[in-house]
Amino acid sequence: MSAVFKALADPSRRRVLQLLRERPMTAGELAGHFPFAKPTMSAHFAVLREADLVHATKVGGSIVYSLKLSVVEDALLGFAESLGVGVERNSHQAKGETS
Amino acid sequence: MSKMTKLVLGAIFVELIAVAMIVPSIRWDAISVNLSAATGARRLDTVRLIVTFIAPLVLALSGVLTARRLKSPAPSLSSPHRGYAEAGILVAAFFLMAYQGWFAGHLGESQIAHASREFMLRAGTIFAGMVMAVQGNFTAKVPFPSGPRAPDPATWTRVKSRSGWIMSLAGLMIAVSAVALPLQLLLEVFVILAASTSGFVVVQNLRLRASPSV
Repeated sequence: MSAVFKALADPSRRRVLQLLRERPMTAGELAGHFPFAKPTMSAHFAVLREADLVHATKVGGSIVYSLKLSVVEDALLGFAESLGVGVERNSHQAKGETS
Repeated sequence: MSKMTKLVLGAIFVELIAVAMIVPSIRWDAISVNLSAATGARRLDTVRLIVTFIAPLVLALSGVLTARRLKSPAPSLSSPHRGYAEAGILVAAFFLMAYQGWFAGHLGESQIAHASREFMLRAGTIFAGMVMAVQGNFTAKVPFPSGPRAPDPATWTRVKSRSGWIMSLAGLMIAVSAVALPLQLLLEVFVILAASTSGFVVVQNLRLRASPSV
């Protein structure tokens, strides 16, 4: 369960899950929604896979991610989203990176 | 469906049939007295008889539908999906066996009375509600099927998430009603919630069939 909390504590990973709500997407499609480098996105995907929140399928040369949320995890996602968990920390990190 | 699941389901089905045939015939004298009375005993025994007779039919229908779904090569169900379906039907079978046993065991008696029996009924209903809630919780965790006639993954994700929420909430409501409601209302509320949830899930699954990925 701690892996789930860790995965949901980051707003970028929560955004990935929100995007997957619409439809399954390839890693490239998901990465297109974020200003991060490939290794950063790969690390986010790895955390989500480790927490068993996404299902990864290899189709041809790309990996397709789909949502794999239980009701409790879905509720936790909504809860973390409404409280803005990790948002402040992320903005501090972004400021640190730019300065 | 694995051989072990078939064996367990078959044994439970035989037990349900045996109880439905034997218990009412043994207690028919007391049952007929209750059924001809114009009191609450008539209603109680009617409900007990319905549950006793309907349990094997429900198991047979659920078993056939689950076996058909697991056997179907198109779409091909994922391994976790198969495990989820088999676990679901086994839990339902054991629950039916316990519930039928409880109702058949009291056939011919004129009242519910007895605090321990009330406790058993409430505890059983809480268990049923919790099982439904847990089953609902994991509904959306099941990976989507693959192959021909597989549903559209986006629709699958939406439908399973919605079904999971409905099942979990209904399960929790059943568990809470088992604690909060008077015994007379318990069965009605349970049947209404379980039937409407099952109906909703069936309609959602029909929507999946209507939206194949290819």
